[in-house]
Amino acid sequence: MRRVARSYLSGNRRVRVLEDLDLDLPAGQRLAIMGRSGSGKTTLLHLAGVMDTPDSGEIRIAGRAVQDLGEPFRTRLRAREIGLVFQDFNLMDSLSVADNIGLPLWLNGIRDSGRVGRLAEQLAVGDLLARYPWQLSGGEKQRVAIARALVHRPRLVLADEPTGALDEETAADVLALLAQATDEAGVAVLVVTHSEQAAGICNRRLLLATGRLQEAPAVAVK
Amino acid sequence: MLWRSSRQFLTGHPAQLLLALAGIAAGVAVMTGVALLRGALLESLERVDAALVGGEGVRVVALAGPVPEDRFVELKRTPGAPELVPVLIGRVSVAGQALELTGIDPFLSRQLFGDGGVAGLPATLTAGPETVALSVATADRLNLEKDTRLEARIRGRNRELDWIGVEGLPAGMEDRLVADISTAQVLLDRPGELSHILAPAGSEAWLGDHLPDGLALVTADQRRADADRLTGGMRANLAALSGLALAVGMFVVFSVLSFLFVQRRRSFAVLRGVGVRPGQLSWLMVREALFLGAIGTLVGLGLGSWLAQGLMELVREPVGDLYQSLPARTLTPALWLFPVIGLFGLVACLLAVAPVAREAARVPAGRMLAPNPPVMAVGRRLMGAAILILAALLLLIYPGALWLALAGLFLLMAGYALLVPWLASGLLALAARASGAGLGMRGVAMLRSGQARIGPALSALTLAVAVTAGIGMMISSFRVSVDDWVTRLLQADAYLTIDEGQIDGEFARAVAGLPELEGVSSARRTTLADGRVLVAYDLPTRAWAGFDWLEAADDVQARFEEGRAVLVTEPFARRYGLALGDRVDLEALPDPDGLEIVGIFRDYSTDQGFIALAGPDYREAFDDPVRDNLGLYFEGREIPDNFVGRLAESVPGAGTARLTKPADIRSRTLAVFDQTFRITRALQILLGLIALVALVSSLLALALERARDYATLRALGLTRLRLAGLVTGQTLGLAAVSVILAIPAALVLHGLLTGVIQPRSFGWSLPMSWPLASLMVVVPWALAAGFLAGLYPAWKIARRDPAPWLKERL
Repeated sequence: MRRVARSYLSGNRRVRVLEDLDLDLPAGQRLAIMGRSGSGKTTLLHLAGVMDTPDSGEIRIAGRAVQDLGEPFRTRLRAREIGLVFQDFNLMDSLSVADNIGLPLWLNGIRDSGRVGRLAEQLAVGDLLARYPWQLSGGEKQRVAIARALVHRPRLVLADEPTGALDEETAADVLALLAQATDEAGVAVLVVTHSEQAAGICNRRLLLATGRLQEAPAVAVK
Repeated sequence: MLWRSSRQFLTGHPAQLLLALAGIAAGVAVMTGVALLRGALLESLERVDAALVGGEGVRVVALAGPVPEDRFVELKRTPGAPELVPVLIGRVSVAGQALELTGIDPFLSRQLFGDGGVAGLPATLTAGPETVALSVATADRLNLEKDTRLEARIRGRNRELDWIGVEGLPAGMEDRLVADISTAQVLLDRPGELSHILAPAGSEAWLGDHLPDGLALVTADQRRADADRLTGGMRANLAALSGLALAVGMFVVFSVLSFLFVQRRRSFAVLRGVGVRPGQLSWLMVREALFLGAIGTLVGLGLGSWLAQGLMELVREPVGDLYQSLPARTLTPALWLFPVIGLFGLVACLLAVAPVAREAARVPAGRMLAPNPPVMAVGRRLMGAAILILAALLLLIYPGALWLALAGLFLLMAGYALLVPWLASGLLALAARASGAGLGMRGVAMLRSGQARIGPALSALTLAVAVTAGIGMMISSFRVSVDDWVTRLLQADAYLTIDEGQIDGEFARAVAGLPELEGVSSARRTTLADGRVLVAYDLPTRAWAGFDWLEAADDVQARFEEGRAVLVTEPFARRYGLALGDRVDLEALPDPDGLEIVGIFRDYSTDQGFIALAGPDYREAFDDPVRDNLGLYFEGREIPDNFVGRLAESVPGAGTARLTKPADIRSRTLAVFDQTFRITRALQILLGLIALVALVSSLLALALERARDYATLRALGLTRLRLAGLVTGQTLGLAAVSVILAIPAALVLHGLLTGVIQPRSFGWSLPMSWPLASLMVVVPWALAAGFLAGLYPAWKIARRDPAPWLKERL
């Protein structure tokens, strides 16, 4: 991201959320963006996930400028190059675990040649493929969500408070699996969080405050 | 506090609020429209009498046919006679619109033209030979301009009349041309004839003592009973349609209220978490239902009044043809009708909200995400099955009871509607298996998990499709039966009527003597004082092939021609519970045992039915030599060239003779049939629209409930177009499921309407046929409705970027 700015209208007042923001995220790196509630972390994540467009500045993903792309191109880019992990998991209750994991493959027209099963085994949800999300615990749901984010081999994984709905112990398990799986896939990971525990799996951390990024001090993680 | 939050929610979602109100208003509007129309049909037969001599006035009628004017004069001159008003009524057409010409003696009708009436008019009416009066409103509607003459078509001829626009004519006189009795007799070509004589209330005793032979008294109560009997069949059918509309409407209301509940499930869970009791949430839903129901019902009552006016325009002329009395165009509903229908609407809303209120009470405290609801409660399935059994029992017991049959029909549809979500679940499971792993599978999977939400809408749509298709099949089947009947009935090669003068015995004999003719038939229809219709037939052998016998003596023709025996139509036999060999009493043909019924035949000309009597017997008993028409049977079965010319030369009085071919009568009959069923078709369309509202509302509910899923799919890379395709595909799929489930219901409905309701309400049976084309024609409409219903939710879902939706969740 280069000199990216984003503001919103709140009533009659324009709120500047991001200002002249610069950010690099090379392949294989895990980056944590931290900050207080309302600091603009989720806006930054949505910009990185091409779900939103900046007021100004440039965003490049895999070398390609995306800020001026039309909606269909952005959607296609998202389907192909990006994996998403949400705080509330956002699994589809109407689909089985296997179908939930396989969604990105279907969206990209890729035939599942055992990839879903392998990834599910890797993330310790191999026995749950026939179940439905409402039959799973929080930790199981997030592991399924991580499998879904990685199954189509994206270049970038975006995780928004990936452990926000989990207890500490489950969160630790899930984070370890996320780190292991993304290491093996060699993807860039952007984690938006205010959890020190979640930030702990990242190689680098930045603090978002008053619309700008700054290096965050490292904190020992349990 | 809770109510404030409800208000805030409802005003914050204007589209949903509007949809809810539209659903309720549409259901109530159909009910109101049909109820007003039913009332108007009954009342319209009463209104002229009420306007002329008051609601409780009595009628003096002839035992058969018209009242001879000299009998009126005789009665009038009898000392102590009450105020008697002679009346002659006939149909005319002005600017293509049907009106009634009512001839009266304006000097004798004090109520209308005396003190407090339209003073000054009598002199004007009697001033010119061809002057008529009509209300200013009617004149405006007919676009009559001052100082122009009124062009009317009367008895096949165009006439130009002087007219006077009158302010203050009572409601019963609207859409009528009022003329002096002598003017009416000239215009209608009925010299010396009266339709009846009116007398004020309280004159029954005097009239009973002084009535001349051949006349009878009909009291206001008898007249109302006659009107009730006359219009009973049509009103019952309208009631059946109204009941079906109510059933569909209730499912719409249920669907809409579920929809309003779904959106607040999370809020309700929070409220339960902070200590709100289940009963308070139920009460909140009930209050909302009552609030929405009250507004929707008020709107529905208004819309219904407007709808009734439209429906009246559709049925006015067919009703006039069927019952010989043209209903007034202006509806004056009874005041009690509106509160009763309003109450009905509110009760329907409460019944519809009951399951939703129960669901609201069961929301677990603090549980934010909606649980996957059960496909369908076993209890509801059992209730549906129990209702079906009850419906079957009602239809099987008391074979003659129309209202039980209608109740059975209503319950049958309601019971089936309760089973629809369960049956749909089975169909969706099959579809899921067949749809592979593409977009279709995901769409079906989402539908299956949202079944509890779409169940009511599916029921409403299935009911609407079944009712539309079932009624369509019944009408087609009925039309085929009428066509077969009329084609068989019209055995003559041509039918002869005359525009001026009458066909009497001499005329008939002269025609029969023409060398081109092999035979001549004649018919004379008359209404007896007790309301029964009598038709006198003179039939050559060829004409007998026109009877479609249900029961007949082996030597029916010989026994009928011998006299002292009658034939009756099927509706007549059914109405009076008569069978072959039973006897019919006719006052004018005194016989200690009555006249034996030697044949019962199929007839669709009137649901009152009639008695057919041999011409010679009739003429002897009633002293009426007139024939309404003659059937001509030519040697070569073709009308010879220039036959009308030779007829005019050879037969005195045949100058205005007109020949009508059977094919023309058949076309006219079928045109009247189609006109009669226009109202049914209009109600069919309304039912379809109501079901569409249900479908849109439930799909929106589903869309909102699944907003997170749709946003996730968009975030994961599903394009807008594919998402819109997914949503419209879902609605199309729902419509397809509805169509599949509606087919058996439509077949059963058609079978019941044709085999049970028609005989019980009109008295005629219809040969059962299964016009599948009428069923198939509904399929594309239902699928198109499903597609259209998906467009709005699809647009609403697909146009939004996923980020704001996801943000709401994070």
